[in-house]
Amino acid sequence: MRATFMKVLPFLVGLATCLVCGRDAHTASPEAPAPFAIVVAANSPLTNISIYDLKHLYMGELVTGPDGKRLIPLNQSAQSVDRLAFDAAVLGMTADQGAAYWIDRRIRGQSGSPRAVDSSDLAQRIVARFDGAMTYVRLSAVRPDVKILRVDGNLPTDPDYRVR
Amino acid sequence: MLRLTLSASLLASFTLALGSGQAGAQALDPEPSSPGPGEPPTGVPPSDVPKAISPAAPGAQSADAPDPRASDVEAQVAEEMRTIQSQAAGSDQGEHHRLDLYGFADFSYMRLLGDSAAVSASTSTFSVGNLNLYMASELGDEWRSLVEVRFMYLPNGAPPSANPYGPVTDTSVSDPTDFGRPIQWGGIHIERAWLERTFHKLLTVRVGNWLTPYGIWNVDHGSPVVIGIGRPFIVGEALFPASQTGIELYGTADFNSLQLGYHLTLSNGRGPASAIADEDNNKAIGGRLFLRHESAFGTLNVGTSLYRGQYSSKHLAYGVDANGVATAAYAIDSQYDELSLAADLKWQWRGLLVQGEVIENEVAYTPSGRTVSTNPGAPAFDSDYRRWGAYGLAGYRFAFLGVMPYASTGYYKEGSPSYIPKLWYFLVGLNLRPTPRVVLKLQYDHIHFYLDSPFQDENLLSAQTAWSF
Repeated sequence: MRATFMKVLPFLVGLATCLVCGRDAHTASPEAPAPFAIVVAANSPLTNISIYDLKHLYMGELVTGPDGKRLIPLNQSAQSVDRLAFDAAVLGMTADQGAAYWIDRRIRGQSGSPRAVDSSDLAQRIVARFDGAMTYVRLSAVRPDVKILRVDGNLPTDPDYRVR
Repeated sequence: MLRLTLSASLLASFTLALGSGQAGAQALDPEPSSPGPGEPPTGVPPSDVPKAISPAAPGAQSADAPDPRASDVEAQVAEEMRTIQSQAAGSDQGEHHRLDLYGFADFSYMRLLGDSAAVSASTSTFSVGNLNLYMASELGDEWRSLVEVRFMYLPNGAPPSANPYGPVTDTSVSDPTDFGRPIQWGGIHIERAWLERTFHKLLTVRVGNWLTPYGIWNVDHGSPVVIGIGRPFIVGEALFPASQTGIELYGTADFNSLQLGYHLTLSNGRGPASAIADEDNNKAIGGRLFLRHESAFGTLNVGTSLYRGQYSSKHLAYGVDANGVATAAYAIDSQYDELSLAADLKWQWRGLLVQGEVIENEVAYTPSGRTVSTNPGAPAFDSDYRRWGAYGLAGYRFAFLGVMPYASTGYYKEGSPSYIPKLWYFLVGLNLRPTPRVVLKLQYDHIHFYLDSPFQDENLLSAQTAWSF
């Protein structure tokens, strides 16, 4: 029995190594989507937002900037890939959970979901000109007329960045 | 006229759809000016934005001609900004005002089981319980309005609350549009109607008729939102008034992952016509403090609520004084001071939900407002009393079909001589949410009444589908 085990041990080690390497390779795949950048108008006084505020801003609560003005979140359409990924990463909700959350909130008499626009490009164009507006976009698609915020002090390229 | 309006709307929708499609296509175009990863871009004046649009798409215009797609995108940006501004920044010109109509409804089946079925008039029944319509509107400049009405078949088919064992109300009338055949009319209950303005995260002022901000269930309110079928017994007994008419202030403050919040209320209080009149010119006050904490162990909400008011019911009594002069004065039918206290807890962690509420209500009659007792075996006049109760509920929502098995238990003690001095119940059920807008519920209740009668236990099987629209 022991001899049999010793025979298959190298195979098991090799298999485990392949699995680990494969997982690492997958994690570091260049095809992995870029992290989300949280963007505001270039002249916004805002430079950082906490993940707590970001979450509650996109859950319909009132969050204000350093100038005391209400921040206005812009969403992407409910079925867009980025919206689903953002909701999962920041709100911790699947598409159905998100939909149920907004329905329940409206029935309680609370405000509805942030306004959704058709594309991240359109959202950024609005954000660039609208004081207090904010949206999320893949880092690879950020337009030059908006400013990327730090989230809990981290930029999207930092390893501790949480909005991915 | 209607056809013209519809045609115009369809055309507008079609045009909008085309615009959206173009915008979507635009979003897929590569952006040559986009920075690389990790390079925060610098600001560009908004007037330069059209230049950022890629001209590489098939059928693109020459460099000298304006790009129609660019103008479409600009028009879309401008339209979106106008909409957002009108809703959020207070620049509503009053020309295109948006009213959101939505609501919920539920349909239930209930069957009494065992001995309890022998003493009930209706042991197996279908019913449409709630048909609630919301009318909500963002009025601009942080003003917001909400009206919720419930359409009912009532009062048809129900006995008066003052005589619950009497004959049911029949609202049948002749329908002149159908050869005078009988039709039964129903009623409308205004659940809430308020206007509010947010001045700051710490202060929103709401006026009108609003749901009393206490506990969990009274605010959850709608059948698609609440887990079980029907309200917990203590919530249904209205130890706090379900809604009030007056002024409510509320706000929140955040400290890292902790949120503290408050509600303060001033209202007509409870009364037979509290939505339109304060029968005793004695305003009721109330309040709620709550905190919410988020951590790796989920979200914990803890709250406590208070209500202090006077109930008065009176009528105009006519008489003749010693000089033979006719007099008219209000006579008190019933009047009492009341104090209600409550505490609630709600914990959500992944699919787990645990919640509970404890509510107490103390009633002290005024000397002129003590009522004659109608309870058999009780003293001639109603005594002051304290009633209280509690419930707890636990459930776990699975990802599969949104299934949530749940269980709940509750206790209620009336505190005064009454037909049901106290009760205890236990229930188990399944709450399914196959799609976000549809909720299916199946529930079994066992209720134990502390009565001097053979019918101390009641078993109930019920099912409900609730949907939002």
